Amino acid sequence: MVEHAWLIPLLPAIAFGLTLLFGRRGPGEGAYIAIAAICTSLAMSLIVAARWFLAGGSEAYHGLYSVSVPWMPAGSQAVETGFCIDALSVVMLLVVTIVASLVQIYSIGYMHGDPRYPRYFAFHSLFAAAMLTLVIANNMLLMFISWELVGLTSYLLIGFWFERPSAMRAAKKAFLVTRVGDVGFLAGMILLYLKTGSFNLFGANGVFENLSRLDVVGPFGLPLLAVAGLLLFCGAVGKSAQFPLHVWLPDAMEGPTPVSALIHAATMVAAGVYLVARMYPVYLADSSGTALQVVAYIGAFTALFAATIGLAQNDIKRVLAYSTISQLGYMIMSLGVFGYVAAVFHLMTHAFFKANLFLGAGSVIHGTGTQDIRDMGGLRRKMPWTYWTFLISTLSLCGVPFVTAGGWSKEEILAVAWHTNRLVFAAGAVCAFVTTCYMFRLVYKVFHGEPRNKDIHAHESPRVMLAPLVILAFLAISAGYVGTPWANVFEHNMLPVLGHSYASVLEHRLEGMHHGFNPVVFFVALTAVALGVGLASAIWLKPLLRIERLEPYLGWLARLVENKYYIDEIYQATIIRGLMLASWIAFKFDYWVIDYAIVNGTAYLTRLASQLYGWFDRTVVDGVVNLVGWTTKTVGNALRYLQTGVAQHYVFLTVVALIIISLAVLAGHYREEAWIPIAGFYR
Amino acid sequence: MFIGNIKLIAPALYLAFAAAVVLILGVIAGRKPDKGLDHWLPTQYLAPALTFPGVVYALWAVLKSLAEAGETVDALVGSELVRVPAVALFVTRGGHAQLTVDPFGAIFTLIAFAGTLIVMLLSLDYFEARQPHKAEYYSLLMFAAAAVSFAAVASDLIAIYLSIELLSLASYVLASFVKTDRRSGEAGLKYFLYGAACSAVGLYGMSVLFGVTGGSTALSAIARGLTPSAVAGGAAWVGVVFTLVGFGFKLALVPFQFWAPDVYQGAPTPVTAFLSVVSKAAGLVVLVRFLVTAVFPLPPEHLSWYWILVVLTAAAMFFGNLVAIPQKNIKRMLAYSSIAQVGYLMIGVLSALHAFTGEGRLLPGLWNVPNALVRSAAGVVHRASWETPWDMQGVIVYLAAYLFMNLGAFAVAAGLGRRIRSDAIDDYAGMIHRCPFLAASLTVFLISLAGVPPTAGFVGKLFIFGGAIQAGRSHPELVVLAVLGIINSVISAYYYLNVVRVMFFAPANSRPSFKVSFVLNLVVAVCLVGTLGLVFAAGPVVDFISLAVCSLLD
Repeated sequence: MVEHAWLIPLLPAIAFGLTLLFGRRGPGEGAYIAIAAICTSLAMSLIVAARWFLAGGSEAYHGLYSVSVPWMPAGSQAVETGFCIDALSVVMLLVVTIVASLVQIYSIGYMHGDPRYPRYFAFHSLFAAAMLTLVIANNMLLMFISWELVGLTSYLLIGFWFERPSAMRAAKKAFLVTRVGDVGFLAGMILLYLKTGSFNLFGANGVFENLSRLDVVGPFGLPLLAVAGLLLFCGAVGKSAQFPLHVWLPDAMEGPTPVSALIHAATMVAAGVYLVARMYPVYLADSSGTALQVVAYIGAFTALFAATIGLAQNDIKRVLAYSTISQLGYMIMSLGVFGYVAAVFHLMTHAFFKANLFLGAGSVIHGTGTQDIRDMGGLRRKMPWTYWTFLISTLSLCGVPFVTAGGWSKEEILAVAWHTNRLVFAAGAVCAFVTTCYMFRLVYKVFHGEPRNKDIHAHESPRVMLAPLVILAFLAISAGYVGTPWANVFEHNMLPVLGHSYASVLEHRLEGMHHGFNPVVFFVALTAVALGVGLASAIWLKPLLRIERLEPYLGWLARLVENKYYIDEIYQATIIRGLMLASWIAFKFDYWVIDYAIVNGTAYLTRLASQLYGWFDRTVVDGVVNLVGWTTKTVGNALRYLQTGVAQHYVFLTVVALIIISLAVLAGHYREEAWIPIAGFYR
Repeated sequence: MFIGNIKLIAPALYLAFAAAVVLILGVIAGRKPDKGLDHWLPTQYLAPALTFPGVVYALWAVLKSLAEAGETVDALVGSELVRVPAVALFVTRGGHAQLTVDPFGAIFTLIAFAGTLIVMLLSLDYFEARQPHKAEYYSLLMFAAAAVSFAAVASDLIAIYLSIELLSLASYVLASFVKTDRRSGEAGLKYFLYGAACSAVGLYGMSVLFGVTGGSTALSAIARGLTPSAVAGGAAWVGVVFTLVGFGFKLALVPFQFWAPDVYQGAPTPVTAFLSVVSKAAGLVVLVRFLVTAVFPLPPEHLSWYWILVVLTAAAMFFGNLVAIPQKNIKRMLAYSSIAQVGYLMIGVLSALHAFTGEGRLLPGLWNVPNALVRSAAGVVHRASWETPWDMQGVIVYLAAYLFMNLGAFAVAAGLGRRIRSDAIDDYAGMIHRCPFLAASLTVFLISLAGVPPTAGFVGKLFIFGGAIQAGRSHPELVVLAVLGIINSVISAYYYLNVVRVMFFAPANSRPSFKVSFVLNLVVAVCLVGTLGLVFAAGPVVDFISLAVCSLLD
C-alpha cells in the first residue's frame, strides 16, 4: 500500500469530477460519491499507517519511501514529480482523511437543503485531493501547485454563499492576503532550485542533500539559507494566518461552519506549519539560526496577540478563529525553538479538538440559528451531546495535563521552550492562561446560565452531526497518548523524518534537555489552566468580579482588543489606500498622458496624413487603376471575337497558328550562332 | 517481349473491365426501366460503386509503384538480357518499355479515378433518374478514366496515341450525350471535328519523329535517336511541335483551345467537369512524359520549341483570363478560366523541365548510352544533389488542387444550373440567401481558383511560382513567367469575385430558396474538404510527390 499511496489523493480528485458532472443525479445528490471517496482514502491511509508504524515499513524503507517519475523537460534536465511516505506524511494523511471524512459526514446534516449541495461536496473533494497531494508531494513544485489549489478551494468555500456580500469580500480577502505570503514561498522555492538545481526534496541530487551550496552570505548580510528559510516562512505566515497576515482568517468564518472546521481550523491552515516542518532541514542547516529566531518570535507574538483578541469577541466562530490563529502561533513558535516533534504533535491534536470545537459550534448555530454568544446561554440542557463534546475539546485546547491530548502536546512545546528560550516559554505560559480564559468564557456564555434570548428555541442536532462530534471528542483525548513523556512513540517515529544528519543537528541543539516528564513545566501549565478557569468562572459563571466597573479605567483597552487592535483599519488606511492612490495616479497618467497626448495626438496626425494621401489616391492611383481596368476589359472584349462559334474558323486559325509556330521553330533551329556551339559541345 | 509486373496497371484493367460489366448489365436493365434488374441494381449506382474500389486500387498502385521505383529487374527480350526498371511493362527489344508505371503516372491515375468518381456522383444529381442510355453514359466515363490511366503510364508513341484516342472518342460521345439539346449535339460535333484535325496533326508529327529517329516508337528510343545528325535538318523539331499539337489540344493550350468554350458550354455540366479536369490531366501527363523522356537530351533554352512553349504559356494565361472577364455564362467563364489555369500548370512544367535537363545535370556524351542507364545514372546524380524540393511536384500539387476546386465549381454550377434552369451569372443573384451552402462553397472554390490563401489554389500557385522563381536563378524567362502569372492571378480575381459579388450583394428579387440533393451536397463537401484541407496536408503530400518525381528520373 505504501507504494500505491498516490491513489489516496486520486480518489477524491475523481470524486470531484464525478460530483461536479453528475452532482444532483448521483447517489445522495453527489454527497455519497465524495464521502465514499474520502472514506476509502481514510481506509488506505490507515493501511499505510499500519504498514508504516506497526508492520515495520519504516524500517524496511529506512524511514523514507520516495519515488519520482519524469514530468516535463526544463532546459537540459527533466523536472520530476513524485510522492513520498514518511512519518510526517503518514501523520498528515491520517489527520486530513479523518477530519475530512468526519466533516463531510457532518455536512450531510449541516448543509441539508442547500441549493448548491452537490457543488459543496465537489469542492470538498477537490480540497481533499489537493491537501492530500500537498502532504505526500516529494518535490517543491508539486507542493506549490497543491498549495495553491487548497488556497483556491478555500476561496471557493469561504465564498460558497456568495449571495452574501460579506462572504464574497471575505473570500476575496483570504485569497489576496494569502497570495502575499505565496509570493515568498515561490521566491524561496526558486532560490532553492537555482542553488541546488532540483525541485525534488530527497535523494542524492535533491534539495536537502545540497543545502551546503546555499551556505553563503546573501542580502542584508544574512546567509542564503536564512533568506530561503524566511521566504518559505512567508508562505507559512500567509497560509497559517500568522501576524501580520492573520487578518483573513477571522473573516473566513463567513464560510459554512464545516468548512471552517476542516479548512480553517484543522488542515489547510496547518499547511503552513507543515511547510516549515517539511522544509525543516533548511532551517537546521542555517548555522546562524536567524530564520528560526524570526519564526519563534512571530509565532509567540501571534499566539499571545490572537489569544487576547479572542477574549473580547462575541461571535462564537470568531472566538474559535482567533483561537486557531493563536494555536497555530503556538506550533510556529515551537518550530522556532527546535520543538519540531512537539509542533507536529500539536498540529495533530489541535486538528482533532479544534475540528470538534468548530463542529460543536456548528451544531450550536444549527440548533439556535445565531452566531452571537450574547443571544445564547443555557444550552447545556437542550444540547447535552454538543455540550459535553465541546467541553472535552475545550479542556484539550486549554491543555489540561494528563487527561487530554492537547495537554500532552502543549506541555511538550513548553518543555522545549523551557530548555531553549525562556522568553518564548513565558509567552507560551501566558498564552495558555489567556486561552483558558477565553475558552471558558465561551463555554459559560453559550452553555451555562439562562437563555438570554427567549425567541430562540434551541434543539439538539441530528445524529449524523453528533456522531462526528463524539468521534472527534474521543480523539481529542486519546490522540495524545502516542506522545507521553514516558513513552514518546511519536518522537521516536518523527525524528528520522529529518534524515540522519539533520536529526543529529536537532539533537545537538536540544542537548542536555531533560527528556521525559518535566515537573516545572507541568506545574506552570497546570497553574495557567487553573488560574484561567478560576478567573473565567469568577467573571462569567458566578459574577464575583464585575469587570464592568473597570470600564472608566480600562475601557480603552477593552475597545482596543475588541476591535482587534485596529489592524484591519491600519491596513485599510495604509496599504489599501496607498494602492488605491497609486492606481488612481496611474489611471490619471494613462488618461491624460497616454490616451490624450500620445494616442489622440498620433491619431490626429494620422488623420491629417491620410487626408492628404486620400486625395492622392483618388486622383492619381485610382486613375491608373481605372485605366488598367478599362484596358483589360477592352482587350478581353476584343479577343472574344476570335471565338466565332464556327468550327471551320477554329480549324483555320489553328492551322495558321501551327504554320507560324513551325516557321518560328525552324527559324530558331537555323540560327547558326544558337546551334553550332551546342552541337560542338555535345558531339 | 518482356511483360513485367502487370499488377501495376491492374487498376486501369479493372476499370475497363468494370466499364464493360456496367455496359452489359446496364443495357440489359435499360430495356425495362425501373423494373427488374434496373430496380434492384440501378446502373447509376452500380457504376460509382464499381469505380470506388478502382480509386482504392489506384492508391494501392501508387504505393506499390513507390516501393518498386528505383529497383531494376533483368528482362529477357527475345534472346537478349537487359536491365530495366522494375516499373517497366511490355519491354521490347533494346530495353524500351511501352508502359512505365512510375509513381508519377500512378498518381495521375489516382487523380483521374478520383475525379471520375466525383463526376459520376455529380451526374447522379444532374441527370434525372430515368436518364436514357445511362449504361452507355457511365461506362463511357469509366472507359475514359481507364484511357487516362493508360495515357498516364504510356511511354511509347503508339500507346500514347491509342489511349488519347480512346479518351477522345469517349469524350466526343459524352459531350453530345443529351441528344435532345441542340447545343449538346453541336458541342460534340465541334469537338469531334476539331479533335480529328488535331489528332491528325499529332499523328503526323509522330510519324515524322518515327522517321527521323530511325524507326522507333518508344519514347526512350526516340530520345536515343535524336542525335545531332538526326535533328540537323530541323524536321525533328517540326515533328516535336506537331506531336505537341496533339497533346496541346487535349490540354486546351492556346492556340489549340478554340474548341473548349463552345464544348464546355454545350456539353452536360458533369461532362464539362470531366473534360476540364480528368481529360486535361491526360493531356498534361503525356505532354510531360513526352518532353521529359523523348526530348530530354538538349538543354531546352537552346531549343526553339522551348521558347515557343514559353510564349504559349504566357499567351494562355492572358487569353484565358482576359476573355473570361466579359463572359455572362458561368460555364463559359469557367472554360476560359481553365484555359488560363493551363497556363499556370505549364509554368510548372517548364520549370520542372530544368530539373531533368538543366545545366550540370546532363553529362556530355550520353547520347548513345541506353536510355534506361542514363536515367538511373542521372537519378543517382539527382538524388545526391536534390536540394531543391520544388520541381514537378508543383505541377502535381496544383493539379490536385485544381481537381478539387474546379470540380467543386462545376459541381455547384451543375447543381444550380439544373434547379434555376440557367447558367447565366446574373441569375445567381442573391444565391447566398436561396441556397447558402452551395453559394458559400462556390465562393471558396472561386477564391481558390484565384489563389487566395488558405485554399488549395494558393498552395498550388505557391509551389508553381516558387519553383519557377527558384529555377529562374539560371533561367530568367521563368521569373518573367512567374511575374506574368501573378499579374494574371490579379486579373482573374476580378471575374471570380464578380460571381461572389452577384451571389452575395445583388438583390435576389424574392426568388424562393431551395434545397439540393444529398449526393450533390456530398460532392460539394468532398471538394470543399479537399480545397480547404490541402493547405494542412501540403507537407506530407509534397513529401509523397517528391518521391514520385524522383522516380520519374529512374
